Amino acid sequence: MSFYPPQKVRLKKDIGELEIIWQNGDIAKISCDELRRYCACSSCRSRKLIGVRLVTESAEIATVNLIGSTALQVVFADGHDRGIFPWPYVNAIATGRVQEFLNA
Amino acid sequence: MLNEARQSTTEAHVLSALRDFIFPVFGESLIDLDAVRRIHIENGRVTIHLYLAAKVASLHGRLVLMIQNHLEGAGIHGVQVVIDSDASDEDFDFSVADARVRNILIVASGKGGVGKSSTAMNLALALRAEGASVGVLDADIYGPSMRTMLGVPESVKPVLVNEKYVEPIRKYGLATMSVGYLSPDKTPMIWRGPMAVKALQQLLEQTLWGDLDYLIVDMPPGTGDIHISLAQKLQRATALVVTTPQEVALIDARKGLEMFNKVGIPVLGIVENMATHVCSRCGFEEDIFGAHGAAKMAEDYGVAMLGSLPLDKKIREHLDSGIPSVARDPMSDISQCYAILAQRVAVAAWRAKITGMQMPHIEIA
Repeated sequence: MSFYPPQKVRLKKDIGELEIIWQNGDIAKISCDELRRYCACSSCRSRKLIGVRLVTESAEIATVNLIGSTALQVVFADGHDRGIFPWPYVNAIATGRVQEFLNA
Repeated sequence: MLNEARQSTTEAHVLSALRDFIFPVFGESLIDLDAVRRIHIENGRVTIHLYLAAKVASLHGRLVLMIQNHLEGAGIHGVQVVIDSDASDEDFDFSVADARVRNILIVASGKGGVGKSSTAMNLALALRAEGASVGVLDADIYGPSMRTMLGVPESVKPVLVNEKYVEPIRKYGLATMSVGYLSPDKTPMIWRGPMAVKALQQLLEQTLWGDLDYLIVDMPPGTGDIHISLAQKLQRATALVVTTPQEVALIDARKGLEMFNKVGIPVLGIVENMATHVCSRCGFEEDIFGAHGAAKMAEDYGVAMLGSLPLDKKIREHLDSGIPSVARDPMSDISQCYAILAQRVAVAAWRAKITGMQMPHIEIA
């Protein structure tokens, strides 16, 4: 049936990694750097589109919150919390298909 | 001797015997579906109380028969099965004002003309025939077709209640609402996106749907404004994608399916419409729009293939005359196709609900 939402989301602060266990048991590991790079918020995405460097002080993640059952909000340690990542986008990051996903 | 064997039947016996029983239409055991409410054993007589969160009344008899046979094979005799499938109070996909809807089914496709509306209408009637209370919302603001397909005369208008709500129009046991009920037949809705979205939202929220097992939302083609708004509004909905087997339709159907993935609405499966045509003169079967396209797509996206409907002149004729095939002749071959589709859809919606209820668990270390 449906692949989303995942069963479990585990934030490992010590190694800067987000681990996601999908519905079918597959485990995805995404580094916090990558989540910051592909931040889903509109300002980060627009900066990328026009080719301006992202304002990043740190990619450290303070916490993650569920947005309903459809997405994950990532709160970075520098206070940037506008990125809401829908599960398919998280999956795209994990499988290295971000560009494909955004262009589709 | 016999008496002793009887007395030794325990709840654990029955449960373990049920664990490897799979009813073909359900595809999972009753235990996994959380369908076993209670097992009552008195003087060696076993009564199993089942709760099915899907309306499949026509299958109950066969389900009971198969359970009894299976348990007999495991040495448990004389089992009684009581099936309940009435809505429980909690767990509605959509509730505003007077509406309490257990399941919302969005019928969509990328391409127009593949038979969304005809499928939606006949599916609604087939679910009705399975004992469900069903509503249908015609979400096609620019090309509403419900009035014609249900044969609702031009003179019938929805009744306004308290200046704010409207009664749905009831026909063939369905509660229905369409923008076509509110405007004359020949007047086009020349509206920009936001207006159409607003109108649809009103049709959805200000119709007195009442208690419904299924509300079927018949979408317009495409992946635009209306689709996005509706998807956001109906966060707990599930979707069906209708397509014809040919490649041009499949391209658009893929987009439709991707859209639901993006907005996080689970897709129950794909319905292949106009699959084979049987010549009414000679009975020759021909795949006018090609074959196996929908099955391939279902495989690509890991979704179920819910059904394959024939290309039959009668389906079109019946809808144009205002009496959908399932209402006109519920026993016909065409109606049987829709009945099978309805059963699979009902079960798929049930299973989606079980997986959907599992919220991800968050751990921060």
